[in-house]
Amino acid sequence: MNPLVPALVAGLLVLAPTPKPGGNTTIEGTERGNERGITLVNSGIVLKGDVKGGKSDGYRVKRPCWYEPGLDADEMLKFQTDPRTQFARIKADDKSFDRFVQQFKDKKGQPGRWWTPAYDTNDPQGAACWADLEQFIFVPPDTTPPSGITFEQLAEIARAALTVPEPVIKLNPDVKSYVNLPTFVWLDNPGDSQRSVTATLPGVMSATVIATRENITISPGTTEDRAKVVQDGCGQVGTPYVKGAQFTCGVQYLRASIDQPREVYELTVSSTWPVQVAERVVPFQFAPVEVSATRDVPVGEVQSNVRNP
Amino acid sequence: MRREQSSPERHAPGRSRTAEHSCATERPCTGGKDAGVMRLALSGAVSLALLAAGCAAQAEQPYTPREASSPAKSVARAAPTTGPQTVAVGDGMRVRIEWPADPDPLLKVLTDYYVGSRRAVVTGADRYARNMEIDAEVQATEWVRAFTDTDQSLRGVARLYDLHVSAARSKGAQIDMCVDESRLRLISTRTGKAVTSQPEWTRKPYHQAALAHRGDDGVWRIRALVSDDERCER
Repeated sequence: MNPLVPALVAGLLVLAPTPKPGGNTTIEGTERGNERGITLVNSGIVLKGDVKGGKSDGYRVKRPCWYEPGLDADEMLKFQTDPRTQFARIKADDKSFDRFVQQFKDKKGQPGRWWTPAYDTNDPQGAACWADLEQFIFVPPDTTPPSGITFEQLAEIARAALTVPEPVIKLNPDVKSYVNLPTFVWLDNPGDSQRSVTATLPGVMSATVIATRENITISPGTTEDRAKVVQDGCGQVGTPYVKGAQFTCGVQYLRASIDQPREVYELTVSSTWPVQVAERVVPFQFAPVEVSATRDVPVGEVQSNVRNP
Repeated sequence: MRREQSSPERHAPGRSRTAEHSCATERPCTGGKDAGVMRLALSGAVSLALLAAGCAAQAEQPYTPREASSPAKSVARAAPTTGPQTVAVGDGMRVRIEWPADPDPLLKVLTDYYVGSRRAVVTGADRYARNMEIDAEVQATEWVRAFTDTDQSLRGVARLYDLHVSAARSKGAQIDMCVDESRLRLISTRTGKAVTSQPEWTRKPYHQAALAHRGDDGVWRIRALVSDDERCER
């Protein structure tokens, strides 16, 4: 028994739908505001790892549709002519059904596999790209057809699914800072410093991408003459403030923010995560994941009262 | 996006006969009247024209002109014309199609489906397969039967607007439109009257899209009908 079969049959149940009222769907619902970078439709690819609990950076696979290998000739013929799974098609129009299954009968006994198209529905071009491909193509053994999925594409899919934690900025002082006072900066709940996703086409191949967090960078939201950035000691996540601690990560504002739009400086902390493909001697280049967060920092003058003795 | 479901409560309509063995497989279509001309004739509410001369009304032209045997002519034949057009669908139902300026011939794949599927309901047909790949045919046919099996039909005027091709490749496309069925009523064919409880689609315009594939024969067929919660304003 080919190890491919169970997974692929499961996939085919989705892709060869027998629509019922409120039943199977070929086109999955798009979740609005979804932070996932990719949503696979009609695909047998399994995504595991850090696909949740963070934010994707909007990376898109270069081509949002591709063919995936599926059943062999006889398995496919059996599946497509099984009255239990094909009931809806037969009931709708048995003549159309007969024409449809002819392509599978024609390949009976031949070596090779049927490849079927899948796509990323997060990409606005994904569905049309899928419609551009054939529903079924028969491919000889050990051959990848044009638009057939490659390792590189699988790695791209893993890259698109990768999420990293969104930085949450902590400051001290927290609500309002003052001229010349060191404002400590660090990240709240930063999570692990490595994130990875593995995309697997069961029984065929898998690709893992690993992102590793680099040191944060702080942008004070104003010019050098108004703010001095100290970030030698920031590391990946900064250091939470403790009383008497040395100031190695943060911003010292030199002028009040009263003349700024909204009377605040907009402080931004960025986190960069270079991405590598695991176990590749010749790595391909992926752009790093970059995420950032911004906070308003009102900076006031320190008032001193001078009183006569 | 989600697949459409089959029930008169659902707006999803979709049926049409697979064109695989119709004249659509051969280009040019025999009897090849200019579809635009045919449509003009139809606008006078000649309801049986589409049925009888389905060939002329289908979007049988390839999207890529260079693939066509006679590009200029084929495009001219398939291309809708700018402005509103009213198509009689049968007894008591009309469809007003608001063509955009310089309409893409691909738009007809979706409007033909809309008109054809409604015609199937209104005429009490039991399927819709024209220019549909098998799973879209199943979707459309189940939708039609959800009416005809329960002795229900449609009456009134539907309006198709904001037609656009949102993505097009050489053999695949997504075609979108808004549908306003506020002047359409679900009726009982037994009483001939509107049913008391009218479905949601009579109250709110909705978005309808089709994913279409151009076969080796040059014919665009709908592979999947989809709708989502994309807003459609009146």
